[in-house]
Amino acid sequence: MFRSVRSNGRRTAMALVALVTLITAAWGSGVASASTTAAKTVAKATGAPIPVGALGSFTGAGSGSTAQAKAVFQDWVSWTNANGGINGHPVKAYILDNANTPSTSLTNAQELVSQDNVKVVFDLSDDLESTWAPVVDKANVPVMGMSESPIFLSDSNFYSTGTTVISLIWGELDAARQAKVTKLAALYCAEIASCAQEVPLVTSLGKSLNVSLVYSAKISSSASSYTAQCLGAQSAGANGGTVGAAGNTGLNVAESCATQGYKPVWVTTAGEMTTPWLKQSSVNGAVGNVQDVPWFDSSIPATKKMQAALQKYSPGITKTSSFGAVSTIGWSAGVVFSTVAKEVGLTPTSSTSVLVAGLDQVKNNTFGGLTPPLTYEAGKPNTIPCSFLVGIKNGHWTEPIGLKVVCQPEAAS
Amino acid sequence: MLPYIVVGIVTGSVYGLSGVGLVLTYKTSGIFNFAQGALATVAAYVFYFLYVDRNVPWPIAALISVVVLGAAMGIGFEAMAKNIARASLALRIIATIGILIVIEAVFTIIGGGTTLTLPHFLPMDTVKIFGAFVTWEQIIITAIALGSTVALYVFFRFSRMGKTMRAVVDDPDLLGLAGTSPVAVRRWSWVIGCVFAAMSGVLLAPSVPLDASVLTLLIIPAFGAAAIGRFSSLPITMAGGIAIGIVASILTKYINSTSLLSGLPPSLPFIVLFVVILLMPRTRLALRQSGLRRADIPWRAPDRVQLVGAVVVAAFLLTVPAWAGFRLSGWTTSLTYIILLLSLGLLARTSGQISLCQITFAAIGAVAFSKLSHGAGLPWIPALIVAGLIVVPIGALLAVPAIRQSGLYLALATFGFGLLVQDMFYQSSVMFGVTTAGISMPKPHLSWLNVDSGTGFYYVVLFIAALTSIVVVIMTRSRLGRLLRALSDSPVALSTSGTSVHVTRVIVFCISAFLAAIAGALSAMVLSTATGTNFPPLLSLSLIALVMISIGGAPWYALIGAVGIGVIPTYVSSPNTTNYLEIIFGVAAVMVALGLNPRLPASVRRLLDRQWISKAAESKGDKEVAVLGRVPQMALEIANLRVRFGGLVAVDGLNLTAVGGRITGLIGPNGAGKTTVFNACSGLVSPSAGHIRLDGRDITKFSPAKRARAGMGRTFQQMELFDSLSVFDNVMVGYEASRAGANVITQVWSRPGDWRSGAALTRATLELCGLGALEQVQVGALSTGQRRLVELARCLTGPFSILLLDEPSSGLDHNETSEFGRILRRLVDERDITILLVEHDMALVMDVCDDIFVLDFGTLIFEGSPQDTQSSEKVRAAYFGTEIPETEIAAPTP
Repeated sequence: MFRSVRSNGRRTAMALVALVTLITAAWGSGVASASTTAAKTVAKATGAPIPVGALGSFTGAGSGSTAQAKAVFQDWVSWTNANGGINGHPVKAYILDNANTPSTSLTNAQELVSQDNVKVVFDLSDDLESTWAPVVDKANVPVMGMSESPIFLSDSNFYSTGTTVISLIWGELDAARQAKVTKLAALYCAEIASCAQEVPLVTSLGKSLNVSLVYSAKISSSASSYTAQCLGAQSAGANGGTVGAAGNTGLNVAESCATQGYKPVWVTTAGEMTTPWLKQSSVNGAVGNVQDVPWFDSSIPATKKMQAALQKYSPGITKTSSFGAVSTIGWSAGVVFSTVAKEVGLTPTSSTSVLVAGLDQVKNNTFGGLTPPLTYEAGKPNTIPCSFLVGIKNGHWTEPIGLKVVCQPEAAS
Repeated sequence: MLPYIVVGIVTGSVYGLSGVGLVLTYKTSGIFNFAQGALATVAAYVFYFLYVDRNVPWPIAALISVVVLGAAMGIGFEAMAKNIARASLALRIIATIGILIVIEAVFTIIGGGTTLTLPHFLPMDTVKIFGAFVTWEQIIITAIALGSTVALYVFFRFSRMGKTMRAVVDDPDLLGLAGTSPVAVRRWSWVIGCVFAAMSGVLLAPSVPLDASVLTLLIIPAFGAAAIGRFSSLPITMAGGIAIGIVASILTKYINSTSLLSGLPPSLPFIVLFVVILLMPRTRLALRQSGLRRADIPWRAPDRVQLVGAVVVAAFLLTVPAWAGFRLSGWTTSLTYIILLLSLGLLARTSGQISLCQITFAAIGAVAFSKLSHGAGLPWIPALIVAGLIVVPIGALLAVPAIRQSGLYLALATFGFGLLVQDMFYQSSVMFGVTTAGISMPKPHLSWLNVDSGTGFYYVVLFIAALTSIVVVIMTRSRLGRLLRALSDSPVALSTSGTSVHVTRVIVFCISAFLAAIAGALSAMVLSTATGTNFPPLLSLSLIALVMISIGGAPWYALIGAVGIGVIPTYVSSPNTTNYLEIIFGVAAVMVALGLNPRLPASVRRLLDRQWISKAAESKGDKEVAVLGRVPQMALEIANLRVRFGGLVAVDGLNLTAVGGRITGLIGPNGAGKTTVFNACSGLVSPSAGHIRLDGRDITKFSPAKRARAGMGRTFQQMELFDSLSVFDNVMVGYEASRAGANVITQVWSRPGDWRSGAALTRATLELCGLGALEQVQVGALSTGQRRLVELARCLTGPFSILLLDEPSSGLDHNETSEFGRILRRLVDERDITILLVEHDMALVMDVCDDIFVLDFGTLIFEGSPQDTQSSEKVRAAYFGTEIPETEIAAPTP
């Protein structure tokens, strides 16, 4: 009897493993964008390379449009190396994914700094900066890129290449104001730390723009319906709505509200707008702002170059479901880096202080229009007050005020 | 208000739909399927593949995903369930958690973290109902939920198959004897349950951003609905789901703020789950489930082997900073996992209680430390200790469901608690704040060690991990350890031996919470800051799987687990390392539940034992053996006892006195109520009337443990032994249980002299019962006859003046029975022990009993000497069914 049980048990376990293998095999080819690349991606180049690192949560909970940031950053590396590199040196990129795990992010930062001896760490909208910032700060390795982390407002070693968080929310509210939103409802997820941080900022910043927060509610990203929250926002008189949640939860909220005949102006920021937004009528007329030049723009040489590179190195990437504003932050950050590095004559043997000195010389520079005006000052946190506005109209991305930027007055002064 | 109610009904029907699926499989299999949401995920992905990627028409895609795949998963689950049905509750829980972990990890690897959007395939036109627009999709889902609930209710209540599905849970063997194949019935049950899960997945997937975990998270709130239905009633589960939906919807209208209350609506299902389980009528200590697979007999390496191993490991860990480089922080984090896994191991491995909120204890510990150290400026060491102590009352709170309910409900309550804390408090100033910056976690400042360097802090954590390991090992081998292991094997036996198991449970939860809090604070210190991201509640599932699959005793399982969850991801830096590890953990959890535990080869174990144990045992020299003395003679009086189970009167107006220093037999045919009388005497069932007096003292209101301490011991018809303990420890627990009593201090600590006295008494008792040669043998490995003797011996080391022996000769051969009878007589003659004996072996009864009482259908029909009993027509009639004129049945003598 005992033998029989063991035998059956083993068969069951084997069947389970077989089932898992089968499903994995079957789906591996069926579902798009399974990332199986190695964590460390090394660009092909000749000569002594300049090592750079990049950190991000490209997989794992809440990765969203950050998932494509890794590929776009790699495209920048490929494009740079194909176009002569930096001061004749190719760029060697170490791109490490922390899968939204704090302990991994710490180890990754330590690896970049102490093993790979990178000259710069690119922050590709990581959100775990507070964990690894002490490591890069201690090693005097500057951080470039951007995220919605408040660390960019307090740590002078962090050089944001896009709008910093408070001004980003201000820009979002200004986009709302320009779309005639006066009363805003904010729904934010219960599971991820970054979801809630927008709400108190909306309350305080909205006053100066005459956009008041009239309704807020915590939601679950896994709920099947948000109708009750829509009714709540509607009865509070909100004519604008914003959703802080991972993935496409915002779309589900908009759909629930549209079902009730409630179609406020949906206001978003940074990476929430992605390709699927274009296909959903409930978010038609949505407005928002982004930290760098809109990812879909191709009206100026700098963006034409970016679109061409994406087309060459990652054909079809712009059509993927998670492609959005955050996806291209690595490109603009890379361009800022290469521009400064060229100016200061950075080589593989240069110390990081050479780069830092160069960065501290950046004043009111938009790098060909890829970024809002960037100004860095030595030893001070680098606040970037301006952002670009974007929108959706009839299934197309729009630039409501072109490539002009809106700037938070207090932060600018 | 009406629109909110309509919306609440629609939302609630989703909870109800999922809840009904959960209850359905639980009702029909006896296994609570934590993987219900994961099965829904599999079906949703297959549907997506067919419908979106391969353009298969949705009805066909749905048919394949729901019926074909659901049936296939049902057959697979049945195969597994068949093999884990006789495993312990903890292992049954772990098995489905393992499957959940595997499915989530597999689809995370496949999807790479990308969410899919499944187009709506049901009509999305709207209808206005009481001011709220409802889509036809929602109406169809609500109708399916309500319709299937009604259909299933009718099916279970009125169809033969429905009744057999319920019966197969209670007694599959009996069902088999009645001519119905339990395997076929169970297979149908699982197929229906899995089809239901698949249907939920396909119906709900278009409404959510589809990823590996969303449907699992969507179905977890349904646990609250299932709790309202007491995990049994389908209609009440559906009604409960709708009630939760309505209340959450209405709360959304009134709670409009960013305060703590904002988390109330999404957290409501978890609050309901936790509160309902907390307030559910208390289940009495459950007797052992029949036919459970015997617990694995754990092999423990000889102490000297372990000591050498510990020295080697410690030396190795001391060298880590010299060569780990940038991976040192990963090693430091792994050390904190050792503490966390030890804290969980105390609960899950040692005391057999499944906690699914260990990571929440860790989170609260980290927050408490930050507020004390960074906020209030308390020095590092006091802040760390006080942070641990702050979590202790929360641990005590979590012990309440452990006291009141069985293991499954404890697992669910702790799971609900973890999610509740995340949704309500993580993103608030009470815990991690509303930004991603998190809270500061300062490291200590020591004058003699540079702790700011990774190396210094590594050594601080290593010291604390080593200290924790030593404390836990000592604790495991102390009285508390024996009590905890006994609690794991048989809370009933421990309780009826004199230990207040409620106190034991509170103690272990408090210690576990304290250690988890310390681990949480230290792990966050490695990162300098703490956010909610560090403490995802679902990580508790992986931790429990890890603790249960690791090999070895404390601290080895924690060390191995820490390598698995901490060190390996540090060195294998693929983004999917964690997912692959989780697949391994999940599959291993299922295999352990199936009984396929990893073991050291027998030859190695024998070699180690030969080389180390024998010498150690010989070196101990002579052992003290006590003389078994007389006990105060006591009489047991049962007066007008009446016990009802619902409408059934099991014992009716029984009057019985077991005179001190005599053996009194209580006999009667099967179902006469004899064991119920014993259970009433020992406090395991509450009588509806009557009194139990011990030596004139009314003990009717006493707990089982207090009755034991008053002098009453017992054995069980279905033996309640501590299978994972040795014969010596089983009998020793008999001595220690009453001394541990209800006092926290005496449960945790015993004086060395006390242990020596107990050991001497234990050896004397083992000699008396002829078990001396088996002292170090694990009880789970003994024959039935030997186990009966161990159970008796355990009673003899307790301070018992009266023993209730329930069919003690069952399973003994003729010679063993004769020897057993002689032992009983010696106990009475030499020690003045009073015995009340329930026994079917009439030869034994007639041989040893002084007085005999005969029960039939709960009523006393005869009382007299063995000779009178033998000649009584009434007794013969009761046993053999001979008809006797009613006038001849005299009222029993009071």
